[in-house]
Amino acid sequence: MAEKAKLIFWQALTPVHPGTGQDSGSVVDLPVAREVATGFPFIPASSLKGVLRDGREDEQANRVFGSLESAAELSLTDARVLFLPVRAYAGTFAFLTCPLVLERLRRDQKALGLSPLQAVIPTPGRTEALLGANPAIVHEGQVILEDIDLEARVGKVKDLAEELGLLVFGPEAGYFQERFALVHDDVFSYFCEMGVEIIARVKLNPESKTVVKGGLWHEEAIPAETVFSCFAIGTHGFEELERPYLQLGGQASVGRGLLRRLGGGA
Amino acid sequence: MPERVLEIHALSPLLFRDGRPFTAADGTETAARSLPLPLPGTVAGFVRTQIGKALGRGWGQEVLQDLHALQVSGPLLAREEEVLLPAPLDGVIYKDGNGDLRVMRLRPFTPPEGAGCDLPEGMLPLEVTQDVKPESRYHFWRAQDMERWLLGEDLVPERIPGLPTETRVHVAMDPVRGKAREGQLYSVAYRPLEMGKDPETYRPATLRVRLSLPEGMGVAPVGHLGGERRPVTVRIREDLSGAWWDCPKSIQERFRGLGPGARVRLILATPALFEGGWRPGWIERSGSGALHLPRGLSKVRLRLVAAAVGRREAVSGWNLRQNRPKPVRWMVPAGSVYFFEVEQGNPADLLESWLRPVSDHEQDRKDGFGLAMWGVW
Amino acid sequence: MKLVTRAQEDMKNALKLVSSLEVEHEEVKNIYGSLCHSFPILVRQSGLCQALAFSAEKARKEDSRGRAHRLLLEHVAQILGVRDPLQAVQQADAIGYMHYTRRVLSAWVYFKRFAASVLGVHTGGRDEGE
Repeated sequence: MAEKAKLIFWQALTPVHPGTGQDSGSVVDLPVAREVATGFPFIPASSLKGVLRDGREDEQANRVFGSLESAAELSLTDARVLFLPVRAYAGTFAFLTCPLVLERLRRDQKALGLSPLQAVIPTPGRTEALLGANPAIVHEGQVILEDIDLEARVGKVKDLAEELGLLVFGPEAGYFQERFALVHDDVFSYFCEMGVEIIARVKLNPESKTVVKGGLWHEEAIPAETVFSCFAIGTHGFEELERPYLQLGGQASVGRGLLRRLGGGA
Repeated sequence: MPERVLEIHALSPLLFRDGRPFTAADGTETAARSLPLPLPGTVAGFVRTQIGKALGRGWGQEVLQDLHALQVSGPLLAREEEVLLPAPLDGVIYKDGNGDLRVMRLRPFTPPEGAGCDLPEGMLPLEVTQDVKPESRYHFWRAQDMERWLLGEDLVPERIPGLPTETRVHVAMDPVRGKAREGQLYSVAYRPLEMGKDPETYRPATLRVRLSLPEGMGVAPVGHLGGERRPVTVRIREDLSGAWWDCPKSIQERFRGLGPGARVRLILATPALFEGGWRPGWIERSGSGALHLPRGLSKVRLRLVAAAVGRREAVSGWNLRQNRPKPVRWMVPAGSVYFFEVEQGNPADLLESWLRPVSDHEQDRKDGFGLAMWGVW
Repeated sequence: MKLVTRAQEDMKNALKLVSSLEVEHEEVKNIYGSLCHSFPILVRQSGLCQALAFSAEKARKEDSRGRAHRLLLEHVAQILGVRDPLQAVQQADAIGYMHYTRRVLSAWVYFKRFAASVLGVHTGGRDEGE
């Protein structure tokens, strides 16, 4: 039976820490996993699959997710960042994306025979934010993101904002469209580094309740509201994706890694 | 049978396993490495699977035999629309005293009277003219640079390290305790089909394969390539020449002007399997008109003068039909160079095997081992 | 064509600058070493401008803490190739600001390493002056 593919989206409800266990090249002790060719954070397919499987070893789980004897019926791709929330002076936060993110998505859609994004993806200048028709993130002609000011170009990506809103958020599209901003690849890349949260963690001495020596470290986390896209590919087992929520990655006990499933027509 | 070029696109980073054993158990190898490119046999197997799926006639003995008989040549790496080739091992990139990049061309030379070396009878060593430290990460060359190199021109190629590696640490989670299981930690190095390190340097990449696809056969577009069943897509490129690297006109012209006594060079674009280990078994039978030789080689008699061969690489795998591991065999790595002298025949006939396989055994050739590029020295 | 990567250059500079602290008073060394760890985190959390303003404020005092912050600012200036980093960053446009932030963060990976290996300071901890 031929493989089918479905595009699905996940949105972080709490910060997510898909770790790598490495710290080289980062000022943070425990950085999040990043794609080597872009530097964008992502959730590895194996993490998603592990959570969906949830330790089950029964016949159904073995068939869908694979076992030592037989290959899985369903595979997932890495979940890539589609929209990154960044603190904005007006409208609380903006949903950022860039041409590279959308073009990669479109290329994958085409390759899988799915209907690709239709709207034109223009290339913003390095100091511009291209916006939908009725943005809520403009302040005196600018989109002020943390400490970077970009010139607001209202209505430049109206069609794109509408198409993406409908595709990802369905009935909640409005809340997305008014915050959507298409920025230059380089600006997006900057916020993939600077816009990712840093959380200080300490280890206390149980007796004295003071921080043990060397017991302070910093962890990165992909912020709440971030939207990820991923593809599920297979012959069967798509019903396993029918879950409103997932809890993923480390520190589940402190509420990290709660994702909700969005749209995707599955 | 019309020839086609297939283009493979990866949806996630891939795992191209080498022959090493690897498990998550304590005290054994817990790191899986990834080859720079998948082995030709791996890609051939993938392509045949996709054709079989599209055929929809199941996997009976007859279907398997038909699929196994398909000649699959590849893989070549492409960066956007540009074909890249493994760096030739007779070119050494280095920095001179001023820090300027230079290339040293290794050429066969006759040692002075009284000097000698322990090479096999009749073989010449390669001359190292500069005592230098080679620059790293020149792993792939653009086709246009390779063309000039094959013609004997000197050039410093663009530095292309190839596909980056992405190392991921995996743990097995204990669903009850919500923690990692003891001793279940391992790391895997994947290769995305993408190059660069940030959006500015980002370039998409694909793998290209050429094959004769019988009329009425197609390929299933979605499948899995390499270790861990990572998903990929494959499509037929309609523009055969645009998607492949046909033998350049300049090389055809140069070879037309050559006759017996000419000095020609073979560079491998994919790893090769030869009966004699590093040494092609067909050399003695070249030009003899013998059957079952790689294309063109039955018409031209060659004498091996020298070789620049990389360290041997292992190929094994799992035989699905017999459900047991395949025995390990040793490959000559891609980029290896053989220097020949033409003894008889028309050297231009050698170009019949341009980017076609020159391994000794027919099945290895069908699997794409040892694609040839020809030049002069 | 001379080819030295920026990472190599950063590593050389960081080693030279961190090593220059060896002649300093023990207390200055410790505070500076600790700053090597905490400064890039502050850049990530509050932005380069605020992180530099914080150090500029501390640098006005004539004690060991002031000295450590002054040295940090000097080293940022050398990495960015400017005279006054706070002024340069304040006056930069968005592109320049992003560039400065990235330069500082990529170079401070090495400052962090050398603070540990050369000065023997392994963690940031809280700067008591905060």
